[in-house]
Amino acid sequence: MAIVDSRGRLFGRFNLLDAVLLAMVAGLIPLGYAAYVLFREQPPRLVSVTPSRTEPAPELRMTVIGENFRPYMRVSAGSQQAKDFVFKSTTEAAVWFEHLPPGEYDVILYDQAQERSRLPGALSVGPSSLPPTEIIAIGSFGNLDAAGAATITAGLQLPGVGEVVAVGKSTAGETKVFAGPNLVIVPVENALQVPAVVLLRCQVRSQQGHPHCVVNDATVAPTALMTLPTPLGKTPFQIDQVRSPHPLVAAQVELRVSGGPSVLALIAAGDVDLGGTSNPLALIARVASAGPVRRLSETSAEIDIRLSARLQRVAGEWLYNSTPLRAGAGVVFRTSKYEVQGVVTQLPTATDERGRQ
Amino acid sequence: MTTMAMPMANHRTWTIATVAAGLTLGFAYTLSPLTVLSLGVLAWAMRAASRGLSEGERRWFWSLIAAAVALRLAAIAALFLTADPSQPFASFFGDEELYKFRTVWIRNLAQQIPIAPSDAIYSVDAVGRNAYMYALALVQAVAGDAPYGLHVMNMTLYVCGVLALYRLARASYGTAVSFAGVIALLFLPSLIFWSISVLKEPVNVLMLAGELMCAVAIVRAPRVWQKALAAAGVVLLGMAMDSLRAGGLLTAALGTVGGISLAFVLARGRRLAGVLVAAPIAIAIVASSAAVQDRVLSNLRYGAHYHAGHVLTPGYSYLLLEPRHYFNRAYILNHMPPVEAGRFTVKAAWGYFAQPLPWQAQSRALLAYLPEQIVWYVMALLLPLGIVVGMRRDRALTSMLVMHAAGAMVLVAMTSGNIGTLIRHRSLAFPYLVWLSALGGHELVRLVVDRHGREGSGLDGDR
Repeated sequence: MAIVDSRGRLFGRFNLLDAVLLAMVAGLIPLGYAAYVLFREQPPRLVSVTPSRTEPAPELRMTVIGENFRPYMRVSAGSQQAKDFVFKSTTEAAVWFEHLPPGEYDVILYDQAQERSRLPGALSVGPSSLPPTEIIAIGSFGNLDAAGAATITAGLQLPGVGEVVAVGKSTAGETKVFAGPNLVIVPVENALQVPAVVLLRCQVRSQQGHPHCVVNDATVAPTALMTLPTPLGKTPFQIDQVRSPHPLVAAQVELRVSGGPSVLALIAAGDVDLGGTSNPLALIARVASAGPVRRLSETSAEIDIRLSARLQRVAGEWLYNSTPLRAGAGVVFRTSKYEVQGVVTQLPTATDERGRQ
Repeated sequence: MTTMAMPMANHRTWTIATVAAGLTLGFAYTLSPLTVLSLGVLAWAMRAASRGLSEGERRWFWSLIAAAVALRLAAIAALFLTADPSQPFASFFGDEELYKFRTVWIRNLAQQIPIAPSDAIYSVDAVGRNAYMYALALVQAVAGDAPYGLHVMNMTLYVCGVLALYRLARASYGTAVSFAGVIALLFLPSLIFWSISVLKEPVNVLMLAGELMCAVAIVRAPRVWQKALAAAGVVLLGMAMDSLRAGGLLTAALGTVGGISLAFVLARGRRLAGVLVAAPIAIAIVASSAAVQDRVLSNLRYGAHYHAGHVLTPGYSYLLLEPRHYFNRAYILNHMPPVEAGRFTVKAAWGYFAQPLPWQAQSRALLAYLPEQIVWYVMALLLPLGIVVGMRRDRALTSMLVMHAAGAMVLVAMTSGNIGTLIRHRSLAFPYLVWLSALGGHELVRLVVDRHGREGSGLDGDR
């Protein structure tokens, strides 16, 4: 028997065209199933976020767990979008946020088009477990014109940050910048700077186990360039010196300084230690009187000097430039001409409480 | 028995075929509604464009268009099948992602579907924004996300534009010329890719075809209200073109007014003679005005400044100014002297036709483009002859094509500097120029054949 007979029938029974069409219709069933399996929407879903509770940090890294993740997805905490979405697998991704303020956040997953999954209140950025505190920063407000310099006065409130405690005379503008490991002072054309003592309200944060005082995500430390809110807007403030807010106490300290005779001969009453800065408000001590230089040999000598120092008394202990001051302890005295090291021979005898400044 | 059996078999076959077709259509519609809708529109447009053709011409027409559509569908299918699964979809060009992503974000914002914060910002970004994005957002609000369906839709828009131009050209220039133009517009490689891209080029071709038809109708329409309607069409479509790309309305306006003027002047020998005498005098008077000189110089400086910006973009560039000026664009904008502006104008016109120079091809992509560049040179050389012949065949259409092409060419020539961008923007003038080049080619072949025929006759006579 012919496969297709003279009437076009397959095996003498079916019309060939009918058979082809039936086969096509029948073929659509597995095709449809294959298409369903292939193109079936597999909706991505968030399951959890780790950590779900955290403290504020400049950079907050998190792991999101879920289903059907894709490399091009994004995550946000409320309206704050994560800086990256590092796809690890279809069930895990790493994301990181910058400067996420304290609060409770929905964690939301997006694909290229729209929101796909949400975990309500899944992330809580709580206040730091360490309490807020205060710190004194001595530095200079910069990039000011004459009118701007005049607005920086003692008592000026810095909203949300602190207040100006004292100001000095304005001088030509300059900024300290890092050039490799060195600090270079560069002039700022047509600008003034105003030395100031500022009381900063800061948050204590532990960064890799080291506690730091942080204001607006900037660590308060010498050379830090902060932008503080003033009536002029965000104003640069570069820090020269930092100390605790405990009151300063004017006190007499006696030192025995050793060194080369030629160096010791430079020491004279009135010399000031500005802590290695040129900021007059960073004054630590002044030479009240200096005894004669006693030669011990050809190359060494010693001298007794009396310092009028601005100390702090914390928990019954004297602090000189934020360092404990004890009899026999070494003290560095640094001026624009010389730098010497002495040993404390007599602790303060008299105190003169003057408040913070 | 036999006579009864055959109709029954036919009836059953038709039933099964109908069911199979319905299932296939439903299956395809489920996968991509926009593809099915677009192909339906395309089938209707092809049918409409083939009306009134002779049997042989119709066969050619369907073969050409079907091959062009099949080629494009195959390319889109290949794009779909070779897509990187780690990405949401694949695209032919990087710029397409701007359209595919952003149109979905705009639609979602309109439908209050939450999107990522960064996407909300980019949705309203001024860079790359044009009216077509909102049209694509609307399409996807109706048909759903269509990252590949948009390619098919844009192909449909492009082919519809070509079909409209084909009908316009066929009526004036004949079958051979119109088919040559269709072949150029449907089978030049770069145009194949632009025509299936999710960019504004395909819809621009449809709009310029519509605008050109309206412009020609202003001249040809028998009644005043029809002319007024056509003029309104020119303005509306010009505005639509302008919403896609700055200068669209200017091209439409200059093309239409210039086309009507040119056709009017060329209609009578006296008018032409009068213009040839009056134009130099008028130009001399106008050009002597300080205000006009300032305006012209200012526009040339702006064009040169724009050109310098293009030169500094990534990719291969060509220079029209002194190299030192590219590092000081403010000088170009504010201080470039008239002599240099004049040099820039001449070089810009030459660069439009000549770039990229074949012996300066610096990349594989440019080497691959070389054959098409040769085709462009041939087209450019055939243009003068095509214009002369076109003026004899249909003065109105030829004038419109010449002036519209001039508008599109001047804007591109005076601002381009990047080779890739020039090639892309030069294609804006192709839908106007191909018919004139084809006409020039057709005339050249006719002249050669006639000459050979005459020579052959002469030789026979000598013998």
